[in-house]
Amino acid sequence: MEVVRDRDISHEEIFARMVAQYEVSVLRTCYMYLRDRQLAEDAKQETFLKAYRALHTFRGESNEKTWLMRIAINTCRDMQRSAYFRFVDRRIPLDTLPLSVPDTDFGEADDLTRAIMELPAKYKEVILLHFYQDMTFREIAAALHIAVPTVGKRIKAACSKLGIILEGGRV
Amino acid sequence: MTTEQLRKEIHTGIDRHCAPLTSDPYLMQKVLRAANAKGERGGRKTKKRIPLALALGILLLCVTAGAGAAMLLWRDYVPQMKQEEHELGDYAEWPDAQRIQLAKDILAMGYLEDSEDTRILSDETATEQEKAAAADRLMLQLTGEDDVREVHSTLITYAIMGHEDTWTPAQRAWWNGIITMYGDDGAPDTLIVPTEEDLPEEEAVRIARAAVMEAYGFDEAYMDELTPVADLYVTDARPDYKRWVVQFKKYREGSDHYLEKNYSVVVDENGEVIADPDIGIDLPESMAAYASDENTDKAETVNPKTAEVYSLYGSQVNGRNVWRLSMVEKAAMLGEDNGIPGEGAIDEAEAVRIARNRLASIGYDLDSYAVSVWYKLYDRAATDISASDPFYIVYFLDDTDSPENVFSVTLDAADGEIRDTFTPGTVNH
Repeated sequence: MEVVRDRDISHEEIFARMVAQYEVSVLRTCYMYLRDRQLAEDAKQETFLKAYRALHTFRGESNEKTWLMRIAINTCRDMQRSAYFRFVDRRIPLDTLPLSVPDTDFGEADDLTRAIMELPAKYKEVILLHFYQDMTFREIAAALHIAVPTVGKRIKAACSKLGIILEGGRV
Repeated sequence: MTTEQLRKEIHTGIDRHCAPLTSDPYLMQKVLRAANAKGERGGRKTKKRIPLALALGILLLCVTAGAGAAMLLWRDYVPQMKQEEHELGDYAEWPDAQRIQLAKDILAMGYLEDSEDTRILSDETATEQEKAAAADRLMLQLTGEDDVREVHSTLITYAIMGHEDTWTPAQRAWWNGIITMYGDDGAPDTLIVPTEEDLPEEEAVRIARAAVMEAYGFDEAYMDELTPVADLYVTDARPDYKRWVVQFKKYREGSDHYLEKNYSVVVDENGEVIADPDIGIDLPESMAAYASDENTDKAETVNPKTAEVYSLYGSQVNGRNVWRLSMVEKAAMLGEDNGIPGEGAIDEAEAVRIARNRLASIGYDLDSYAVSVWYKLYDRAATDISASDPFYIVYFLDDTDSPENVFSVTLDAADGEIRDTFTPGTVNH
């Protein structure tokens, strides 16, 4: 059987596989973060564009998903901050800005999903990465540039805000 | 509930709610087209080719106009510095050789005056460390900063070309292209260079000005105090739809970054004032009504202090934790309403002492907590900002990396009178 070595695979092929594997999950994570369909679509495209540009620098110190999620979260942060700070009357709190496009196609969010969307960003990030992206504390710490114990503290605090009590207090 | 049960519930809830969000069959093509449009192939950046006519134009300008040539040189140089920041991090993290080279290049472009430090750069008897230290001092002198960690390409660009608001739309479009190329913009819009076929900038500003005056009830004299900044742009969502965004800005007197007011209007290519959800700007009348509601309904909303504390929880600026910034750093890096105590204000230590005593008086002994002092030039939530006096907010945090318990005391900067006390249990007061 022929062994396919890394150098036999073009950037485009690696990238195409990443798009196929992670596109929907990146998009939905961005949507949960930004609460806006159009912004989420833009964030997804920007995430993959940045990933494509930086693909040659990815050396596998972290796993591929961690790397991509780090880009996605940073893109969402920048997008939210940038759209807000560049144009909006700054006396209006960021979280109270109306959604730009009515998401009429979406089903009614259950209470938990809605509560997650309304969490402050730092809690929302860890909840999405740990429970939706199935990332470990260590992977989240690497993606968000924070200490592993901080991940635990944030998840615990987020669960508390969501009114969730986990068995044995463990996450 | 177990972790697995929660994980399953979250997966199911998000996937059900987000079911309409599916894959885009053209994503791969869009990304490759966007990357290639910016001179990249196979994930690697390639040098952009400059058309011959443009190259000749630049050469001609360099030869005929001294100041113009200098500006063009820096404009051409910025991508190189951005690339180095992209690869090596901020200037302060660069190896000595790169820091020295940057200073030498800027000197060669004519943006630094001859001095002892410029002499050291080319002194064969000086060590690399001495040259690097000289380079650092020159960069601080150029940017007006007092901490080398703050030096970066944007500040150097401002030092050389002036504040962005003073540039032409074409210059801002160029800058937008530069920062987008290096992935540190994230804005949903792309600024473009106006052509003769587009609605003229002056016309867009005139239309937007009239719209702001009508929506907010401002007169000509007040509008004259605001600085119009107009940019032509498209968005990824509507790449062929050009429109102007005109911002009317008012900075605090003597400052170019304490933004007191900002009214934004979008004008389309037919001269119509429109709302643009792509960049989150509504019609002026809606923005005016919203701002008015915000003031009158404040009592029914979340305590602004609570919102501010939450918004700051995980904040970082240029990789620095905001809670650990000094007041000077906050004023420089965050700007807006953040400042440093002026004449007649009580000093920082006194503000902390008053705040600590206040919390102790209601039963909170916070000696083990970190303290973060903020000096606010005005109250952002005030109806009339100009009538708002400076004040301190002294925060006490159990952990600056991930604060779970935050207390604050707000006090008047002039006499230390306590305006407000915030504890973790505070909701509205």
